[in-house]
Amino acid sequence: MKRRGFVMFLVVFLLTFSLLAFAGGQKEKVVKIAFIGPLTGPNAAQGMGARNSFELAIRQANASGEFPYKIEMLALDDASDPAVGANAANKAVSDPQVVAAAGHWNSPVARATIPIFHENGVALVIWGAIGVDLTDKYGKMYPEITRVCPKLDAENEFLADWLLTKQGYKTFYIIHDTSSYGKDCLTFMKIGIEKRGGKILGIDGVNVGEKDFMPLLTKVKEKNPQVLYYGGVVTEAALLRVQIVKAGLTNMLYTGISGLADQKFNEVAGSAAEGTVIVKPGDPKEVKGWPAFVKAYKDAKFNEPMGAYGQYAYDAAGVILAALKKVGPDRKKLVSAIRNIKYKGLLGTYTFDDTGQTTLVSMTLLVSQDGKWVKWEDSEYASGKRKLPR
Amino acid sequence: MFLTFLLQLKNSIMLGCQYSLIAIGFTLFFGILNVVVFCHGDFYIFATFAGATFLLIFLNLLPGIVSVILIAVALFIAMVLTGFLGVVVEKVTIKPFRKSNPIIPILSTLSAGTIIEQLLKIFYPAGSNPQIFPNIIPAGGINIGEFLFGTNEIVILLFTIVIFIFMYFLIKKTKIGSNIVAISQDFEAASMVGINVDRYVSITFFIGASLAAIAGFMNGIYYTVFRYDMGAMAGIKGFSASVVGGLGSVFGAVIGGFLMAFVETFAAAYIPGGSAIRDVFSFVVVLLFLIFRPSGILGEKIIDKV
Repeated sequence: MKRRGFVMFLVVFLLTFSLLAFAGGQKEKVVKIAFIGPLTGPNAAQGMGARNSFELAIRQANASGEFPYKIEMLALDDASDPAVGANAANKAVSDPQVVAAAGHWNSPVARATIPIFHENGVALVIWGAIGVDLTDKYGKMYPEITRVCPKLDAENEFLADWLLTKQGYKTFYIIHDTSSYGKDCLTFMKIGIEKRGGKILGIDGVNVGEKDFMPLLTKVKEKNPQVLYYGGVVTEAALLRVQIVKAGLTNMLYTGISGLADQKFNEVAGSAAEGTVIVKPGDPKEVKGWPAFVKAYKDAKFNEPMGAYGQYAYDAAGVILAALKKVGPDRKKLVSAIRNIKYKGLLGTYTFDDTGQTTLVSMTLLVSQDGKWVKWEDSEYASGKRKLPR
Repeated sequence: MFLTFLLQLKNSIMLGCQYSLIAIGFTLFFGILNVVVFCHGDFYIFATFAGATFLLIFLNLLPGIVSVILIAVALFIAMVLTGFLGVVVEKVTIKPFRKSNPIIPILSTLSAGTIIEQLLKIFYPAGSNPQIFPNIIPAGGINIGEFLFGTNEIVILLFTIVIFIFMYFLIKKTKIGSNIVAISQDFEAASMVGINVDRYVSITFFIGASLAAIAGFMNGIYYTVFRYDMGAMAGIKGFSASVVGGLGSVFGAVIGGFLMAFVETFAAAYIPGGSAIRDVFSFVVVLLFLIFRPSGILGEKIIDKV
């Protein structure tokens, strides 16, 4: 009943609103917030989930009646490609109605658009790109740049600590893709392992788009590590996982960070995915507002699941909206308002340090169990019913 | 050490099967029309999509049927569809330019390839995501000590050998084969002695594209994960293999395919950091051939012709 009521409310509201918009014509004031992410291309699953979550936040803001104007999302595709992303950024900043932007899942794309947002004085809240330098370097220089998700080094540090300190794994093999993301993964995972006395038996790079990992895995088999860490993203991670089983490496733990945190990994790797352990930023189930968010997302009837970064896109929208409420639709005022904000979002209270990085850090450990990512603490692996390979 | 070597050899043979099948298409097309068909790699990935789609349909509609028959039917449909795609692409992007500058078919086939790739991405459900090839071949296989020979690997190897033998007989012993050879030796003379050249060009494209379809189907069986943009690289590898083997020579293409796979696999396996730069090694081999033996391993015929 409650749900039906909400839907009815939404329908009536939207209907009235669209009628109003129709009747009002151009008189009604519109404020736009740009969303940029990979809506097509290899990472479209991540981008669409984030886009939907972002849109949900905007819808809720409009429905709240707290804004004296209509807020619209300008969703732009970066296709995980820096050149396409730069075009999208230019389009966003050249639209005078756009007051701020949230963007990117891929760090190389963010590196291409950050100067554009800086030159035009438009605030960019990064929702999903985790390259360390985005805030450490650019955020420090440019007040326009902030980031709501944790950095890549924090994820690797957390994972290394769990693997070595809590689980007692000792020997590792690192495979990483040769993108800047993969190389960063290598750098920080290596530090994390070596700091805790773990032994790295080998390191190898693979190209994004490669599909034949059998020669490499045959080599890994000879070294016989306890853990194989992959620094990369879903497609290659799944291909690798399938071929690990095929190469007969069944007594080795497969692990990685949030680049793998997508249901697509489980779907594509199929039964081979079982027992993969990954770390993902955010610990939503600890948060009070989480069930309401999940329900609202479900009620909104989007075609795509929210993905690993939907929560961050939602909070990125929340940060921008809170600042908007405070200082109004003014690009320049929004830049400093976002940097200095104290915003209670879905995952906790956001503040930003002097590099624009959020001080809110939380991590979830997930394990693939029966084709789904299950929170480690709730899994049959943690309860001892199933055993991780070692 | 020796066991690892044997396993790597097996890995390279598996890769070589696919490269060879793609390379044969390139070499047939070049032999008959002197064109390089740059969308051949997209025929290959198109076939992976087609094969996966029909397998999924069959598995849903007819769950009880023996899987061997299902695989055979799905493969057959994928071959026929891809074969016709090859014929259509030739009619649209190569035939109109037979008398034009030879650079034109390169561009037109490259365009056709991009079109195929983008259409797959846009119109296949969730086409930009990685796709799953149904896991139809039972797991397991033969274990000789620690040497694993998976069922799907045995299937791929045996089937490739059958295709090679079939191609040998087709070209050496049948009328179709001798006509294709005749056209590739002298296009105009062949048409003067009464060979319906256009028909045989279509037949050649059908055969070449359906061989790419077999490779694409094997790609699905072997790796089980595929994506719309994986055709281009496979095409370049197959083209390189046919050049190394000697453009115009079917058996050269087979040898070239296995050589490319061998270099790639062993670069990844035995050179430190090799897996990141395996393609560098295989293309260095291509360059060495282009510099020191541009006719390829078995490519004498082209020199005679020129």
